[in-house]
Amino acid sequence: MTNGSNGSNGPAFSGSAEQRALAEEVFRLMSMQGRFFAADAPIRQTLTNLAEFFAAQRKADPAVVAQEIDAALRANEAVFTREERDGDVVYITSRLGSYRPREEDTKHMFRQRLHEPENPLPVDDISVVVTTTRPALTTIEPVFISDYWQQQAGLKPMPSTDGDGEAPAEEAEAAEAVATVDLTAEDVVVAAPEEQAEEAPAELQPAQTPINTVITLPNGVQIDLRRSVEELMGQYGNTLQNLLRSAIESDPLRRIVTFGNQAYPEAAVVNFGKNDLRRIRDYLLEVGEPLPDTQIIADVFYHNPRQADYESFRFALNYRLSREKDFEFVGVEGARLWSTRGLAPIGTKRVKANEMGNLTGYLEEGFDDSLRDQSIESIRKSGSLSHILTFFEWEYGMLPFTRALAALLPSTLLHDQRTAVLRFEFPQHYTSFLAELRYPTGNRGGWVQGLEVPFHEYLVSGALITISRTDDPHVFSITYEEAPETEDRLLVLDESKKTPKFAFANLTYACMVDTDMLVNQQQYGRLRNLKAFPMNERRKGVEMLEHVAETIGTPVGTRAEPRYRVTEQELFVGLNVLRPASREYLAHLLREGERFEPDEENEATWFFTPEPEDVADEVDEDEDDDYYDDEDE
Amino acid sequence: MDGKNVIYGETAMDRLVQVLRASGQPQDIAWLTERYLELLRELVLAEEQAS
Repeated sequence: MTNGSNGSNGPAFSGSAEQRALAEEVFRLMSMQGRFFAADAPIRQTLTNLAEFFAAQRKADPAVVAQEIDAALRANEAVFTREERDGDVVYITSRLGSYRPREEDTKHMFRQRLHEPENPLPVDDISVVVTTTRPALTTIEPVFISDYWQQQAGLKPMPSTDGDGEAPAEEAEAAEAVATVDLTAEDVVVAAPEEQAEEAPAELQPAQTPINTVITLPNGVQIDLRRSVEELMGQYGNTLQNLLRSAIESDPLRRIVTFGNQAYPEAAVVNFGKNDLRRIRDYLLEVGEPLPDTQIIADVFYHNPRQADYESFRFALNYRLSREKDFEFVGVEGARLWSTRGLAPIGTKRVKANEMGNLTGYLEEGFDDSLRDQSIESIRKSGSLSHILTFFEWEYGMLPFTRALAALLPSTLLHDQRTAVLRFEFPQHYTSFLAELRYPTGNRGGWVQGLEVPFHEYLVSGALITISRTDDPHVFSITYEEAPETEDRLLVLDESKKTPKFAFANLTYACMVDTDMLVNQQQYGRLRNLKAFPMNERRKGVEMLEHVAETIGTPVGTRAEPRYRVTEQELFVGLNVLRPASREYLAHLLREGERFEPDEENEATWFFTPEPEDVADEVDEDEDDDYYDDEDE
Repeated sequence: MDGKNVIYGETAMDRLVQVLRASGQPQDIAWLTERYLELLRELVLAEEQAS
């Protein structure tokens, strides 16, 4: 056997001359096969393929050729690596002349560096330090130092090690060091292992400390996650929900979006184009009143509730509309109504929203006594509320949003919601009317408006009405106890002239009334002299009350020193002609009013002494005469 | 995970998004809070079981 070479660049081949020639030919063939491979990339070929190729060239028996090739390549093991796979023989070489399996050097990889020598930084810690979210504001984050480095710095005890682990390598070194010392200081040698033996169990203690399962909520409350979800929700349900909602809403990535009490991933919320929004707006304007989301979906998008994505589509519609300026949410939980710019306003135009808010502000100032006769529980349980209409409510078709009414009517669904559109049915007349509920904001009170027409058509001031829930969360009914038709001269506001004026007119009504609150001429005839102040002046409670006392009170003084005696009932009715007021608010005004003093002899009766007027200011003597004329009557 | 490293409203929020998406339809905040507590419990108690 001799060694040969195929040239200056090729490998040297062994074996007989024939074998060398054959091996060289196979190498040349496989080099051609992998000529575009990397120099050290493996080039594989099966013995069967090679035998067939050479047999075809030499026109010989493939089996014989296979034996020859196998013998030749076996003789050149350095060049051809032989493997057997699935019953076939595979030869591997490379353009360099031999095949060496590649060894990947991972010593300097990031993962390797982090996890050696013994996983110093737990994966959980990494998830805290490396976050995919970017905080909206720069915050000082706590620095988490892995247990490993804390142990190295001596801040934490070393973890316990198994007897047959790798860690004892260090201990072995320490033992060697101790052994070295042993030769010179025997006492120390004896003491050292004992100390180690004694300290070891003590050091094990902290490592076995149970995992901390208590988490601290953003509001400082600590909860233990060992407790079941049901328990935690039972005790901290509202807090946990509110905190999660805040976290979701303040998430800069807006991964989850909310509408009302519902949440859904933003990425899964369907988008609505300008054309879709225009179609919705056109449809609302065409119908002429706020519409529920379900109706919009059905009539504009022809989406069927039976479709699998109906609820997610509905959520998308509500969420997208809530972010559009042209649309306003005016619905409640269970009836998501949408209004749009350009729809006709609901309710009286005679009182502006800010004026009404000021007038009902007394409710927010703590003078709401609506729960004196009915408790919140009874209202919620029965689903109905009794109320006596005052003149102001009757005249302007409004109802103050008292706590009693709030117990009956739905609350806001969105945190920035200002209004809700409700429908009030009058089943005794088979009619219904849209009304707008304005929720209180700050020191301004809330109210319901839009009931002017039914109040004027069916009721009078002093009427006892019952407001009840229906099955539909945004529909309510107003009923009253019917009574024989009665005609009476009742107070009305005559606005036909340039200056509005109160007057008594013949009206017929057929409902039960609280006679004390019925503003008829017989009881409250002097109220026709009330001045119909502009609305912005009516918010001044004391001034209004003084005007009422002066108008309706019985004169007990002289012309030079006028004084009036007036009952609380008269003041209450009179004040409620000019503006809404509760009895508690009236009592507050009387207490605060410097010109009011209680009548010691008669209960619930007050004296009012007006500010002295100059003689030159004495005008409208006719009106003064009216007072005395009435008194004469 | 150690409870002291849990930030309520931040930790495991990605997984909560996945859970919500997998549910296939909008869910109440109460439902979401319960699922979130379950995720946090898994995280905290998993380490306890592992140790």
